[in-house]
Amino acid sequence: MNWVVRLVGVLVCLLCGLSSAQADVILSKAEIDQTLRHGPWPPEVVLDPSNRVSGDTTAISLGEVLFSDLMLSRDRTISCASCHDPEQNFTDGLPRAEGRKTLDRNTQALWNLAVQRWYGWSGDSDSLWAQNLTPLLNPDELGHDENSLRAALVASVHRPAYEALFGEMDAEPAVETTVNVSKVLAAYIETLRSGKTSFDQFRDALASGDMKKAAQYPLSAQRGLQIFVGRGNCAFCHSGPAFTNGEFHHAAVPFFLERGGVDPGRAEGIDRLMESPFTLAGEFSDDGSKAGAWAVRNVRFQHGNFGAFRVPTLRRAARTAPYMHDGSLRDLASVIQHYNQIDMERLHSDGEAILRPLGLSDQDAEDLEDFLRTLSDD
Amino acid sequence: MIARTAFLASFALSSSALACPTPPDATQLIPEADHAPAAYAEMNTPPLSAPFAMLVTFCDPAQKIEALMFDALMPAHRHGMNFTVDVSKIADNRFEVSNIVFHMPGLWELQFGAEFAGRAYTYIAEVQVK
Ligand code: HEC
Ligand code: HEC
Repeated sequence: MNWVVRLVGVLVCLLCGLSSAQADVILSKAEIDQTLRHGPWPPEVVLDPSNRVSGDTTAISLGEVLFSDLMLSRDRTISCASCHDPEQNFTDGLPRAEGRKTLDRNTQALWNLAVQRWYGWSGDSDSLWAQNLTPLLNPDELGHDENSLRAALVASVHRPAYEALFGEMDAEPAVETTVNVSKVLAAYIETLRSGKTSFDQFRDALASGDMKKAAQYPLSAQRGLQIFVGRGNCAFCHSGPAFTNGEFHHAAVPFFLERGGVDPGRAEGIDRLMESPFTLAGEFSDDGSKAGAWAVRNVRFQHGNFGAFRVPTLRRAARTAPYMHDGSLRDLASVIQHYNQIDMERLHSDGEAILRPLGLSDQDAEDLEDFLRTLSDD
Repeated sequence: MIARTAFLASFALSSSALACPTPPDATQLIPEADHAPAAYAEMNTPPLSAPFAMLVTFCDPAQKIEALMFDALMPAHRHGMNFTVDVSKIADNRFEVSNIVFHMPGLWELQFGAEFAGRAYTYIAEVQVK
């Protein structure tokens, strides 16, 4: 009798021990504060003042159709969707994009791009519509020029929808048409937003003080989050609700190109920006107040820009391998090992002082990966 | 932070002209030279990686500051800002510094250069960005 009571007692205690080990918030007060800064998500929907068709339903549907229309390439063989495949999270699963030849960089996924400060791996553009001009006009991608694109559109079934948005095409200069097509594509891409993930449920529960709900977030992900905001130093660059500060850093990824030479990254991005007539400071912006133009006017060239690339968002990143600007890292585990065993030789003297080998155990690395996956399970 | 503010406030009392009381939430600028006019900056909590502005006030009406230079860096990470700022004079001895972007969390060191009669007074201050 006595031993039965004791055994039951032990069992109950084992169970209660187990359940409290499984359902607990292990974050300190400081870690909770850091976690709160990665939300709320999703952000408010904002329209792009530099794009007069931003948010327009006709533009959004036309943009969606054009995105996959072979008409957008001069020889009618590829479209945006050839690289940004909607079935593959708007990327292609390849290390580097395949256009008319293999490009130097990895195809970025197109989630959460409305009204960012910079676009592209090196921030060649300061608006989504300006970024869309690059593939349209790049001979290695869609290969149009302004006149061929205009001619293709005039002869297409899309002309009525286009004219409903922008008016009669007859007298429209080809450069206007080209920019307008980019703006229509931007109106569509702006609508590609990722949703709430299990990380966001956790964060919202912490924000409202609901520890019981928060405790449902797996312990391994919590430990990974502790590394992310703590000794991993990840949140220095992957900050805020989108897990990026939107700026440029050198993450010790080699920038030598297979075809010889180097990819200067942000250093070249600034040059391109300075040469472009299609910035928020220019006449193609529809925002009379030129609100976003301060960034291109004030951007500052620094030696550290060389080999720096835009910090990618980590939302939905678990779905968009391979990684880095050159697609050189196969999976998330490889990215974590890249940071864990970072090659200090690759960082130039004025490079980031926060990157250093992390000394993560196998368990730590798995925890960090579990955490990263909770940013993509929406 | 409170201790620091208190320290800076006592510093302000000892060195600045009382004609120019520092508002309670302002950040005192620490001059390199003893004879520099007292100065302070007023700003909201700096946002992370988004532009914000501050007002800078110099306290000695006898010395009208002609121009203000501003820069900032993260001593721990050996880098500065990715943008230059805009400075405009909004009144005698009062300047607005705008489009300041602190793109990483941590301690930023602010550097000010105030031009007066062919001389430059330099000041520093620190802010913690979250
Ligand atoms: C040949 C493959 C390919 C095609 C076709 C292509 N892209 Fe891309 N896209 C890329 C690559 C590679 C990048 C990264 C560019 C860089 O930083 O150099 C990119 C980047 C982008 C970005 C920037 C994303 C970000 O996070 O800043 C946008 C927007 C974009 N593409 C839109 C489009 C649109 C719209 C089209 C069709 C008009 C298109 N792309 C066609 C490969 C392609
Ligand atoms: C110094 C800033 C910085 C720090 C610190 C940092 N990252 Fe990054 N991260 C970047 C940059 C920049 C890239 C893109 C590098 C490139 O392509 O050359 C990147 C790329 C990535 C990618 C690939 C995303 C993609 O879509 O290709 C992942 C995943 C990632 N980082 C996770 C982490 C984790 C986890 C940590 C902490 C262990 C971390 N980062 C620390 C700046 C940083």
